[in-house]
Amino acid sequence: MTQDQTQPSAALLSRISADLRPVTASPVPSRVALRVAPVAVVTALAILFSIGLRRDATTLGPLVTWGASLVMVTLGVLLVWIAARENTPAHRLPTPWVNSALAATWLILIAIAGWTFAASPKVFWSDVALSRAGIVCAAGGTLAGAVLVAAFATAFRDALAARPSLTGALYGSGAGIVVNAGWRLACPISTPWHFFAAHGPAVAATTLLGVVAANVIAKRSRRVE
Amino acid sequence: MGEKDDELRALMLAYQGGSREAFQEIYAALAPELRRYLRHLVMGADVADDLLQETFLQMHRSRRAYNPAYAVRPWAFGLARNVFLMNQRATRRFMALHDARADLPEIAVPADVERLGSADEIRQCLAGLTSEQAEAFLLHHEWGFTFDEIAGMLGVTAVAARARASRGMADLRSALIGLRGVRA
Repeated sequence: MTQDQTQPSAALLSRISADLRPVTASPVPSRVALRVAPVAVVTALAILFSIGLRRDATTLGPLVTWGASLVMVTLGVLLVWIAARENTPAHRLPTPWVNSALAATWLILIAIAGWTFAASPKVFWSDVALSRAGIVCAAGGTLAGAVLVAAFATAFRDALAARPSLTGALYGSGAGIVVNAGWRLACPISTPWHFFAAHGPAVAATTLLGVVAANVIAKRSRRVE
Repeated sequence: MGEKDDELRALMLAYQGGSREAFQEIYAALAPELRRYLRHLVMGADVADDLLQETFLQMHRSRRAYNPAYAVRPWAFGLARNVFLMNQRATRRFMALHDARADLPEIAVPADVERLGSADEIRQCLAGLTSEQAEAFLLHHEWGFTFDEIAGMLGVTAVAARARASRGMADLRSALIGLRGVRA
């Protein structure tokens, strides 16, 4: 117990020495966000091009169609930036700000859904077709979000978050909102029911996937080698 | 502080490049104060030594996550705090030890308050502060971090960090005066 406090223990030193391969420094959070931005735009556009632009795009106008999706992509990138800050020791943002950003995300999502419905409320689909569309939007949105969550989780794998659930929720909802930004450009149904039964749950599920991924990473990093 | 951190930055870069000697120098520079910080967080319990080892292990695993844009000391303290928070076992021990706050070996006595009482008196009164106040107070007065740096570590605003440290100082002063009064 009288070990020199300025010298690492032999056990620690041998663990360190076992893996001293050179590593490159990770980017700072703002750079992470800048790198994520094109990925977010490409993801949203890939969803749009694979399904096609919604038929009521002209009724909605460019502001509701493209402007709202641009806001959502920007919000998604912002959430990833906050997650990167949260993941960096000594660079966390104040907790109330982080919680407010998460809450604001949902408010903005609901507001955009309401705005879209107000601009194009008519639906000419049967109830069965609407239910099927709901399942497709919920499952497809979650699946696409899962791919993005995996990409974000890989980007954050080296850091040690004090609150992994919060970090995961941040990049999970970032992924969810980016995917939804593309999905809403393709989905022709604007009803509140469709949002709360399909698009909203897809974002929630992606958020949950982020929480799970961040906790798995945190557990792995705590594991004694 | 700036020159010391520049040295530490250079060492971190060498460490990222694979230098074992750089790691040893970083350890020599940071371990004593990180140990005292961890002892403060776990209320002087012996588990601080385990957490110190874990902090440096995590630093090793996360060495890629360090960017030269960051000051090293706040980053390392933040990492130590994260390790403390993430360690459920340590947290449980912390909870169990929470009532034994008066028995606090090696908790730092900041130079700013040395004149206010004996080291034992100050330790005793420090133990009476809330954990939030005591942490912000010690990070500023003992380890010399700015309120912006403390805010980043604790996840609060710089104003809140300043307020916690100030309230800590005010409460410490009145506790010391009270203690003196009782003894007189």
